[in-house]
Amino acid sequence: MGEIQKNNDHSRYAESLRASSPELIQCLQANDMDGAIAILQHVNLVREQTLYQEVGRLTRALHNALKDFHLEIGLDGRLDVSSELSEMVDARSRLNYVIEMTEEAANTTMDNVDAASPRVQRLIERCNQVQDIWAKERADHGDEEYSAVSRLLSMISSESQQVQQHLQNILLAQGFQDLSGQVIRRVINLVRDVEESLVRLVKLASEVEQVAGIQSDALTEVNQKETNVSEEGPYVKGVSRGDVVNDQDEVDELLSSLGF
Amino acid sequence: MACASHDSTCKLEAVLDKNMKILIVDDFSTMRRIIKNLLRDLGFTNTAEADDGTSAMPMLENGQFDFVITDWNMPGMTGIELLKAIRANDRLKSLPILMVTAEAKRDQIIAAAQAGVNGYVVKPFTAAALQEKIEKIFERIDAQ
Repeated sequence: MGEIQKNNDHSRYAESLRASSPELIQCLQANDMDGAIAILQHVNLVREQTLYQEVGRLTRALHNALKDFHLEIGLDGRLDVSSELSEMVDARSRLNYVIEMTEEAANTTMDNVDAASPRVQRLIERCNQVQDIWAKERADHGDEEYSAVSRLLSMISSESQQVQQHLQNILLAQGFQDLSGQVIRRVINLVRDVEESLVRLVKLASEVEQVAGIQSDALTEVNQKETNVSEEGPYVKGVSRGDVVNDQDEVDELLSSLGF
Repeated sequence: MACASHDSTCKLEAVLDKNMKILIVDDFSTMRRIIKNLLRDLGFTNTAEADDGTSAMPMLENGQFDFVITDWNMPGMTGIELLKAIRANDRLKSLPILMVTAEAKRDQIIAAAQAGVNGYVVKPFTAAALQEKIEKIFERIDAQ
């Protein structure tokens, strides 16, 4: 769409330049610099007006789009960005709710792991104690029942150790809350930024006269690119972010190449 | 398990003082709890927690900590800023620091290495990876 707009502006500019060219050539050939400058200024004015109209049109379109989003904001220019209440605020609070709920769920899971783990540990320890005693008994007697109990004891011990391992895996899996929470926080910030920008734009729309003058600054701000090494958040599958390591092995490789 | 080659006896157990005081820095309480539990399973019970660099720094300055495990992306003071602040602090500069973070860009890992991190673990991680990095850090410090 930006490309079409650009071409459109460009063609109008070219058209007005073409229309003025015989006159411009005449002035230049007659060495009438004041006349030539006046013609060029006129051509530029046409271009500015086109730009101005397009900004106005886009802003109105934006405002209509915002109204469709049920953004209840006034157009009288007295709007306060911070007091803005919108669907977006609601979206943010819903996302915050997801973070809270997953945190609560992760904590409940970990509470249960914390409760189960020492019990399993006690089971292993007690079982080992009984095993030692039983081994002596078995040496004295050596019947079938004694060896069946022996097998049971060693099974309890090894199975319990497996359970401990599973409990640790359950604990580690709760890291999802941190990783998903980081992604959600980013989305919350994005929604907030977009929301604030839109509100600012709508304020501008109410002062269309000034829009053309402010526009270039706004664009520069948007185009400013961060060059520092900053936080990126967790790697999201399917979202390409360039030079990202895929696992711990690659981290180790990279660090060892740096002399670590 | 690898041991310092100049020593005939494996000093790893001695190097890994189970009573060492560890500060866990992460803005997500879930992750702090996971790391704390994993450390407990490894025998390290002397731990404290901070939710970002800003709250971690005074704790480090006032308490006798032996080891820091920190996240990178935190509101307030980030992990990389904390790392730099520790390295710039005369009393704390030699404190071993392990970064446990979801930040996985090569530039970031290089930046952390240049800032003087002792180890780097990417989330999600395994208990074995955490243990291995901790052992490696203290093995290396001991070899110096």
